[in-house]
Amino acid sequence: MLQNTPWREEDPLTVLVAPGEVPPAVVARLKPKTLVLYGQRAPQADTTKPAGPCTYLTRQGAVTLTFTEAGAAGSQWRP
Amino acid sequence: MLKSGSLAGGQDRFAQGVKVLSGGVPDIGRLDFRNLLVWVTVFLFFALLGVGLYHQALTPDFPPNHLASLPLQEEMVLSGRIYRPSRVGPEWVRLYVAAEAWNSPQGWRPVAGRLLVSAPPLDAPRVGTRVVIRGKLQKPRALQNPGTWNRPRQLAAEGIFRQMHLSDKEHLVLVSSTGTPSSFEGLQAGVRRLLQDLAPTTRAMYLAMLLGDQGEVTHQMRRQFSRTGTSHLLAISGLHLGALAGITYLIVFWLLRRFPWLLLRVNVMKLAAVAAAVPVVAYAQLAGGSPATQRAEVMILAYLLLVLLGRPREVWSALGLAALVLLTWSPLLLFSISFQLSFVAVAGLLFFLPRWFAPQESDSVDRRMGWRTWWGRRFIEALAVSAVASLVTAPLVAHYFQVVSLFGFLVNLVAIPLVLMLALPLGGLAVLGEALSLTPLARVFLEIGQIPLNLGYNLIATLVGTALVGAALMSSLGLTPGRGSTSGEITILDSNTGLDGVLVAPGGQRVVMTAAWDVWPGREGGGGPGALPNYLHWRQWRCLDAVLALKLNARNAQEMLALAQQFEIGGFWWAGSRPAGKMIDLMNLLGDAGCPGLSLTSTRPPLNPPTSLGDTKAPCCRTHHGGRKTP
Repeated sequence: MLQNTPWREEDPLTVLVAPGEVPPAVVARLKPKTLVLYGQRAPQADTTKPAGPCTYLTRQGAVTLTFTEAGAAGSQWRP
Repeated sequence: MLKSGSLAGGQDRFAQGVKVLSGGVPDIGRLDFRNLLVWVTVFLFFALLGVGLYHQALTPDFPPNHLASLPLQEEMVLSGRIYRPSRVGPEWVRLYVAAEAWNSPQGWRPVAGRLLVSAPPLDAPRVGTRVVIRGKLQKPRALQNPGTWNRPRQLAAEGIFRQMHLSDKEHLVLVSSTGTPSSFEGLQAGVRRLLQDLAPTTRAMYLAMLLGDQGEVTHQMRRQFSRTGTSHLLAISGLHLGALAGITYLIVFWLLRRFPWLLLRVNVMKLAAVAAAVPVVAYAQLAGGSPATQRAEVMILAYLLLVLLGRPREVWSALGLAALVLLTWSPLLLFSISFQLSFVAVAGLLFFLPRWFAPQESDSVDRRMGWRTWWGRRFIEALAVSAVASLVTAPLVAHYFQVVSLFGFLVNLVAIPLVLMLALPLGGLAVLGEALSLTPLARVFLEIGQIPLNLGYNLIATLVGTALVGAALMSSLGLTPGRGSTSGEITILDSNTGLDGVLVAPGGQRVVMTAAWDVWPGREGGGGPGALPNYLHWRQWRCLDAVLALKLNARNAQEMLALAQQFEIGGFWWAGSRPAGKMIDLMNLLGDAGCPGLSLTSTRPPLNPPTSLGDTKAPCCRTHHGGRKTP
């Protein structure tokens, strides 16, 4: 479904919130700076490679993204 | 001389050590280095022992045939028996099953361990009933969100390390029951019959207080009790058992004092203490013997034991004995809310009250007082008890429930005498009447008992509650933070239902987003209450500007229903298949509240419009802020 997004590819996303099993090709095409993956399923290795976006898994703790004039900042709640 | 001096020093240290071990708090400033070292070593020893026991209780070494060794998330058939009374809620039944065998590929094999089974509403089977269950074993897991209760630890404290959700009650087969129902089960059924004719709120409160069954307590009632700091009235705790023990003790003591010849032969205080223990044990059994009730029972019995031993003033010892017994039984209880609240409240009362009210009154002093002075003093004492208990438990209440009633001690001052000192004992007499097959007499007690019960509830729900909560809100208006902000915020929660998130726009508007995973045919049983309600309560929000159910189905319908019941919603937009089951309840509730659910596919959505994704037409949420995009 995310492969059919109406947004332009050359305009990278600040954040992409997607299910854990999101295909790496989608992430590579949308080029998000931050990736938030929800659900219990583990993402594929290509999705979270070191050179990829900053990735948060909600199964490790709720993720909060704050948008200010200075930019977007992510933080994860740890029990 | 040297030897003698050394001996004397040793005796001093011994005396100091005895003081420490017996619960006395040493004056740290006056301890020499050696004694300080002993004290710190003892403290560290017990702290490390506690940590070790905690981890052992949380992750024990299971025997080879334990449930924990069976595969997770695989359909299997288990057999076992009900070992504890089931908990019945409006939407579910929780069955406590001691597993005995499982149907492995090689045939039936023995298995051990406790299993918590959640099933759709059904007639709760009796304790001892053999059951066969088909489902998937799951390991209890706590959602990693702020405001979420650590459920795995709570279950581990009860010896439960596996659970199973049944989507269909036909996956549970009741095989047989071991003989006739126990006397307590028969009595419970009788009490339920007695309560049938009462008004819903009265019945719900009596069911909660007499049988420990909160299934009929509505969310609105919970909210009223929570806001007025009186939630503890609904959960059978040390206060309930203590009230019953205290009243029984006073009545028996008063009766025995009428017989002078008896006073010469027996110690009536000890006899009254023994008599007071009987209803405490019976009440705890009748209430189903839940862990919280058992804890309260141990605390009260520990104190009555001290009275029996002739040491009624050593209340700190009673508290220590109760803590020792309970924590030896399960170290994880230290993290139980009811354990913490009970012990902190009692410890606070024991510490503060003697400093404010010296126990110098004797009968002669009481007789010299005028009745106005006597009642005035009793009133001030009761006020102090309520204030101290509320004050010392406030940090814990704030931490766990995010709501602290500023005037709770005043409401309790009225509610406790009405509910616990009048309605509860009368309910207890009704239970006794039913136990003796004197049903008409039991009905009379209930008829009388519901008067103070209704009075107490009405005071909580309307007069005192509303007035005081209103005053509290008025006084806190100046402290209410503004909703406006220059930053936006999106929080995505750990959830079992799919996407659960909250968006706070720079203007302060709050939008809840949810999109459930697909539901397969035959699995429409639905999910639990979900992650959102607890998180939103943790944020201390009462109003939501919009709820966007990007995909609504049986998985998140109950979660949305909980939101609609517990929060004020400005608008509800949804997309999904044709409403069924809980979705119909949700739409009805929203319609009744004047905020009907609007379809995302046919109406204009709020704030940033959700966007359709390509050919699928499935809506998603897309936000912009400062040139940054988040889909």
